[in-house]
Amino acid sequence: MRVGQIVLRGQILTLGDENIPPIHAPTSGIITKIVKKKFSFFPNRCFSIISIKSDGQDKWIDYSSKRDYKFFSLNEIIQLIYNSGVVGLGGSGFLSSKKIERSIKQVHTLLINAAESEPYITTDDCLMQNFSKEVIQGCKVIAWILKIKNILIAIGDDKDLAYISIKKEIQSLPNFKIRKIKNKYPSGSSKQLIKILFNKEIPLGKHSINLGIIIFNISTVFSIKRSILNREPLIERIITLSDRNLSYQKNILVRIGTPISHILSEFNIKKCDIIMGGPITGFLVDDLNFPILKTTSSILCLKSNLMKNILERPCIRCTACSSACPIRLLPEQLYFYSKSLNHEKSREYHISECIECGICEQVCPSNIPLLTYFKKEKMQLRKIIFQENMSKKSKKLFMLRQHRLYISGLINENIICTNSTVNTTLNNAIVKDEDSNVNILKKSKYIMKKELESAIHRAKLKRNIK
Amino acid sequence: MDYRYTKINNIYVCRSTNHIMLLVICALVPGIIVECYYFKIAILIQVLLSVISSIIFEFIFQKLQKEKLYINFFDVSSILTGVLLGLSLPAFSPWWISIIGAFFSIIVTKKLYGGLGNNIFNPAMSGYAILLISFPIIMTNWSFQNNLEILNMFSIRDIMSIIFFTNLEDYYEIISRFCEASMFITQATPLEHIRIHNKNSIISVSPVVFSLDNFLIYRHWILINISFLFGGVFLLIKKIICWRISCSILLCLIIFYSIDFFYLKHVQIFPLIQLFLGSTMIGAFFIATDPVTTSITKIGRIIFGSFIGILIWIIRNFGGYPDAIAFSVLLSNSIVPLIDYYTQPRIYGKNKKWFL
Ligand code: SF4
Ligand code: SF4
Repeated sequence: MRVGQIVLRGQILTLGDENIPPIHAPTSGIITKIVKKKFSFFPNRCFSIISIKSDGQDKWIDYSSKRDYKFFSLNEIIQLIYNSGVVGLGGSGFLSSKKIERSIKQVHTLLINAAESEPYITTDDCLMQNFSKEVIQGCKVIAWILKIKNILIAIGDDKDLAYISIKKEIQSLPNFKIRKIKNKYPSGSSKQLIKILFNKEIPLGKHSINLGIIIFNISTVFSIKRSILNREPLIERIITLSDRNLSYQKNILVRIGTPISHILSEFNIKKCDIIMGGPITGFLVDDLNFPILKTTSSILCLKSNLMKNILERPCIRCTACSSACPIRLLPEQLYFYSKSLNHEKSREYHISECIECGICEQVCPSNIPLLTYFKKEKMQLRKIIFQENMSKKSKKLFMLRQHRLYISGLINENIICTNSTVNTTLNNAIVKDEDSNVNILKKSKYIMKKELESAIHRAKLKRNIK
Repeated sequence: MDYRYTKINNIYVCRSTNHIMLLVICALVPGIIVECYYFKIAILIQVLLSVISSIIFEFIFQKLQKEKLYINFFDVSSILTGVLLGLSLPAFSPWWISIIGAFFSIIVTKKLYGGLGNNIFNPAMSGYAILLISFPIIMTNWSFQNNLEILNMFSIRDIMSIIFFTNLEDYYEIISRFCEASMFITQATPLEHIRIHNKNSIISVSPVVFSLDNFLIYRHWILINISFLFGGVFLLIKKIICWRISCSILLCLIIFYSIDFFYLKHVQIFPLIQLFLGSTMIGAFFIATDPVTTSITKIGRIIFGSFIGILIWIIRNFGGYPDAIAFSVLLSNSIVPLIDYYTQPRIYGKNKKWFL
């Protein structure tokens, strides 16, 4: 892919790797530029932005295979889901194909998460009201892939219309169930959902698959259905556009990659601060050219100058945060340790279990941005763990090299020793040995190169951390 | 760190820290009014003195630290500390007492430990304790307060002259003169009185029963405590203080006093009345519940409260000081980190421990 290339809608732009799915062109047109850019609200992350000038025709790429999905093999279907770039649209961004692959023959229940993860967002509601049939089809597809019998749909208790429309669809289907749950943040997070529905807790460091339950967000189900039945990659999603007083609220279907400024101009919204994501865990966007991501579920417009600088006061240990935390962590201790960069302690207090729901930050009377601290601390911890792994690896490499050098040294000695003798068989052996010697030398050179690379890498990492 | 990107706010409207502290001060108002009724303007002067001096100390220290001014300055916490300190001082102590107390509270226990939120000891109580150790005669002199008739004799001018214009020797003289006049031994809060009485009764075997008349002398103490109880209940309803601490303190006290009452027959006061003597209520509702210096876990708070209760009982019964709130709170403060460490709540998905 290069500048000037003509792409069609749905064409793969970048190939993915283990964690990143391929990315598709949202519309047809010409690639005009490819730039790398950093955004101030996403520190430590660099985005490559591919701009496509649309030709206005919106031509689809040709999808050849029109087979029924039931004739596919398991691997093929997983590959298909991967190729269409489906990720968890609830906000996690985890690869759906990977999730399915992991849960083969391990799960007995498919849990569809239709409870909105945050207040103000109504994408799931909208999806269920308008596309209930397709959603149910998607559930069936997943159930067919994983050979699951029970399907449970969890829905917030204030979504009556959606409840009715889903109920209508599943009337004749015995293994579908729908349940209303209390609409209280963060009941949309997977841990809380399982606690509410099954009264079980996911064991520490495990995944819901270990309990035999696989959880999908309802919009993910929808896009899986699209990808398998219609062979359509994930290039659009529903997002909620709302303001703080809910004086206007719309659910709109947008292509992924649309700049925010475009949406705003379409709806005549002027002069406001934009929060991307939910009101609790979202972040303020100050560059309106930022595109809609796959995990963006909502755009919240606040009047500008509403977000004043709020003073951060010292923590008075009032425990409002720890009594609100759904995971029963102790945010004030975590705050203390992450502020003083005491990584050992913060690991001891289970910072990695935090689901980043942001409740603690909301209830804090001292206006401490706890979640920001935790995110930072988590990042640091990840770096430290990564470094540890790196040092282990390079140590291993070093040991290997030492070993080889030692062996080659022995062989060299052997050569010297054996040259004096006139044993032909031994000499033959030496010749062979010399070959292997060269090989070993080559290999050790390779290893040295590797080591050097890793050393440079580590040095870079160190600099980054500083 | 840039705060602008974080708190979107206004979804859940929570009180700010200042608001919380202001409410606590408001809850203290009925107690202050009742005290003013009995002790005249003296108590108000003490409170004002310590409040003003704590604000000034806070201000000076921030200047020295080159902190951004007005961040902590309008943090009402130092005002609250001042009010609590002023209330716990004897009403007729000389003016420099409250200033020294404020110095220890604000500078030594709070600022030198790293400012609000980092202090391990309760500021007001540590100031009080240091005063109690350094100036025992002045600090344990409650004799004026126990005789309302003498108090009624004072005019405002007298009170002012006692507080502001006496040097130390004159002060002792005045104390002794008034004590003679009132026929009271020095060091006679009702609790002290009871204690001495108890000791005597052990020796003389035949216990002197406290009659209702004896209690009428102390009725102002009971009233003051009731007014603080009202303030405390107000805070409990507003969910500003944690019920676990106050309730466990009071419960512990009731239990131990009942043991006293039913098994050691020489104590003849009904256990509930004991709760309304001394500074039990203000201690249980306003001093021990200072969030900074208490445990943060739920079970930890119950342990903390019971520890305070037990210590109060022990010190009152066997110790040398009549009113044990300050020392028991401070002692319990020092074991808070330990409590916190061992009472961490079971986090989501972890196997159950036997006690959590
Ligand atoms: S809510 Fe805020 S002030 Fe209260 S304990 Fe938690 S971090 Fe501290
Ligand atoms: S963000 Fe705060 S409330 Fe939410 S899980 Fe993490 S520590 Fe607990």
